Amino acid sequence: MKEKLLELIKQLDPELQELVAEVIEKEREFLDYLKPRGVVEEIRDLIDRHAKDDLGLLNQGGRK
Amino acid sequence: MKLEYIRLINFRQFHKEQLADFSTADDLNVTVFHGLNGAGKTSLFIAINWCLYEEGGADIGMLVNKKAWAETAIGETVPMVVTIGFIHRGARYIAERAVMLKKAENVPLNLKAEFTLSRTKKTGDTKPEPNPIGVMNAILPSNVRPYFFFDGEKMDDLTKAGSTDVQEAVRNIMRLPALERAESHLQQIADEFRREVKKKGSHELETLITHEQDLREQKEKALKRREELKEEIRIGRAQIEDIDAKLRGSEAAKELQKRRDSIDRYIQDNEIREKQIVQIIQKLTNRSYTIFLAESCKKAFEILDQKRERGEIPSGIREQFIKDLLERKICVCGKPFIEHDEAFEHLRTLLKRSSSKDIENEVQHLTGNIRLLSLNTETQISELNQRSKELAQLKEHTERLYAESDDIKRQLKGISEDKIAELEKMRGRFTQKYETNIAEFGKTESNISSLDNQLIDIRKQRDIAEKKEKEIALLSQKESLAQKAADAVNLIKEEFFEETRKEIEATTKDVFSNLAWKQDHFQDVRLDQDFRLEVIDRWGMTTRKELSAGERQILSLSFITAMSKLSGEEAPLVMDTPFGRLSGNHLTAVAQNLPSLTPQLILFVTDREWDEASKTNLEPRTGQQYNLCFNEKTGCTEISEVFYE
Repeated sequence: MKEKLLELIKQLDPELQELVAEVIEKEREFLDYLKPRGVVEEIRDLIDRHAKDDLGLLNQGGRK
Repeated sequence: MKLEYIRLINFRQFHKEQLADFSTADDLNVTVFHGLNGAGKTSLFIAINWCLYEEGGADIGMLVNKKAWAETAIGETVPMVVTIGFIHRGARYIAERAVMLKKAENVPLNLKAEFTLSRTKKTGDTKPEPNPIGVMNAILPSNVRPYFFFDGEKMDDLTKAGSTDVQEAVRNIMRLPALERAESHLQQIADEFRREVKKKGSHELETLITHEQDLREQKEKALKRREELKEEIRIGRAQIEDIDAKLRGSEAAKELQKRRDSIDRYIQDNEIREKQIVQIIQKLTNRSYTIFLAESCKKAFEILDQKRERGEIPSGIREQFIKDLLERKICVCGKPFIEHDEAFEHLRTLLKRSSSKDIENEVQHLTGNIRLLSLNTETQISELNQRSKELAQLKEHTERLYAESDDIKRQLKGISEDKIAELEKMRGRFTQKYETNIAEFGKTESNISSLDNQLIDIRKQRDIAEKKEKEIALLSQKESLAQKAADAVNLIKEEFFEETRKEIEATTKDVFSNLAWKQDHFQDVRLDQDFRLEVIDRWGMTTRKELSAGERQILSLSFITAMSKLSGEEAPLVMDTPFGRLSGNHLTAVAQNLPSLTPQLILFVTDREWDEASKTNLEPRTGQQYNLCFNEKTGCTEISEVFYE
C-alpha cells in the first residue's frame, strides 16, 4: 500500500509532489515517536523552504 | 522484522538465564512452544511484549521470578532482564529491557526498567539507538503490535458484532492517521498564513510607484525646459551683446554704453557679494538659538550669586581649609581658640556653609559654561548686525546702479539718431525676455532640485514598502502552497482509504475462503465504507452476528493476515493459544495455510492444540520446537529444545 500512496502522490501537481510526500513522512515519524514533538513547526519549515524555492529566494545549494 | 532469539533472566517462572532461538528460515518459518496450562506459555508471550513495548508489566514486582526473589537477602539486588534479537530490513537489532530490583524488607521497589536498542549493520558496526522507543515504533508501531502478537482465545473479539476494533486496526496498521493529521496540520498552517497576509497586505507600493512615475515625468519635463531656457538665455545674451557692440561702435552712444558696461559689472559684482553675505547670515541664523539664551544666562548669574550669598553653593572657602583650622585650634589670624568659644563656633558655622571639592568644581564649570555661552551669543549678535548692515548697504548701492542704468537707457532712447533709439528699444525687449528667462531658469532649477529630493524620499519609502511586499509575496506563496497541499492530501486520503478498503476486503475474502470449511455457505466478505467487516452467506444475508467463535477466529485471522500482507510491515505472528477455539476442518485449514500467510509464525500451544492435525500440517514448516517444563519442586520453568527424530 506504500507504493499505492506514492502512486497517488505522483498524480499530484508536480510542484506539490515533494512537499506532500515530505509532510506525510513527517507525520509518520511523529506517529512512530521518532520525532514526537514539534511536527507543525517542521511542516511550517518545509512549506517555507518550498515557497522560497518557488520564488527563487533560495541559494543554489538550499534545496535537495 | 523477524525474531531471532529470546533470553530471559529471572522473568516470572523462568529462573536465572533461559534462552530460546526462533526459526527464521523462509521454508521453516514456524517456532512452536509446547506447554501445559501454567507451564509458562503466556509468561513467554508477555516477555516478548514487555521487552519490546513494556506491555503487561505495570507492576514490575509481579514479574520478577519468585525463587530468585526469595533467595535474595534484604538489601541485595536481583536482575530481571529480557533480551530479544531480531532482524529488520537487513540490520540486526538487540532489544533489551532490564531492571535491577533491590530487596527492601521483602518488598520489591517498583523501579522503571531501562530499554535499550542497539543496531548491528551488515558491516558489523554496532551502536545503540539514541531514541530506542521511537525506532522500535518505526519498526513495528506499538498500536499495531496487538494485531501481530495476540492471544488466540481473545482473537475473535476483533470481529465480534459492535466492535470498533477492525476500524482501529485498519487505521493503525495502514497508518491512516498520518494522512488525517497531515491534512489537518496543513489546513491549520494555511489558515494561519492567510490571516497574516490579510493583516499585512496593502496597496502602499502601488500608490508609491504611481507617485514616483508622476515625479519622474515632471522631472523630465523640467529638464527639457531647462535645456530650452539655457538656449534662449544664450541667444538672448548674444542679442544683447550684439546691440551693445553696435552701441559701442556708435560715436553718439559710445560713452553712454561704456558707462553702462561699467555699471553692469558693478551690479554683477554686487549681486555675487550679496549672495555670499546671505549665505553667511543663514549660517549665523542657524546658530542663533543662543541669542534667546542671553536673558536666561543673565538670570542664571543672578541665581548663582544669590545662592553664594546664602552660602548654598561654594563661597570660596574650601571645606578642608576650615577643617584644618578647627583641628589645629588656631584662627586664620594666628590667634589660638578653644572648643565652644566664639571663634570655634564661628568656624563651625563656616564649615556648615562650606562645600565639598566636587560640588565646588561643578559650580565653577557651570559658571564657566554660562559665561562662554553668553560671550558667544554676544559675538554672534554683533556679527549678524554687521552683516545685515553690509547687505543693506550693498542693496542700496545696487539700487543706485540700476537707477543710473535706467537713466542711461533713457538717454540712449533720447538720442536723435533713429538707429540708436531703435537699437536701445530692441535691447530693452531682449533684456526683458532675457531676465524673464533667467528667472524661469532659476525656478526650473529649484523645481528639479525639489523633485530630486522627493524622488530620493519616495525611493526610500519604496524600499521599505518593497521589503514588506516581498514578505507578503512569500507569505502569500506559503499560504497558497499549504492550502494546495492540504487539498491534495484530502484527495489522496479519500482515494487511499478507498483503495485500502478494497484491497483489505479482497485479501480477507481470499484468505477466509481458504480457511473456512463452509466455503459454499459463505459467499462474500465485505468491508464497508466505515471499515466494518461483514460476512455474506449464500442467501445474500449478512451473517457476522451468527458466526461461531471458531468462525470469528478464522475471520479475524484472515483479516489480520490480509492487513499484514498489505501494510508492508514484515512482522511475525506471535500467537498464544492459537487453536483453542478451533476444531476439525478449521484447525486443519489454519494449520495448512497459516505458515504461508506470514513471514514468521511463533506459536504457544497446549498439548490439546498440538494434535495430529496441527502436528501433521505444521511440523514440515517448523524449524524450532521447545517444551516448557515446569518443575514442581522449584516452581520454575525450563525451556528445553525438542529435537526431531
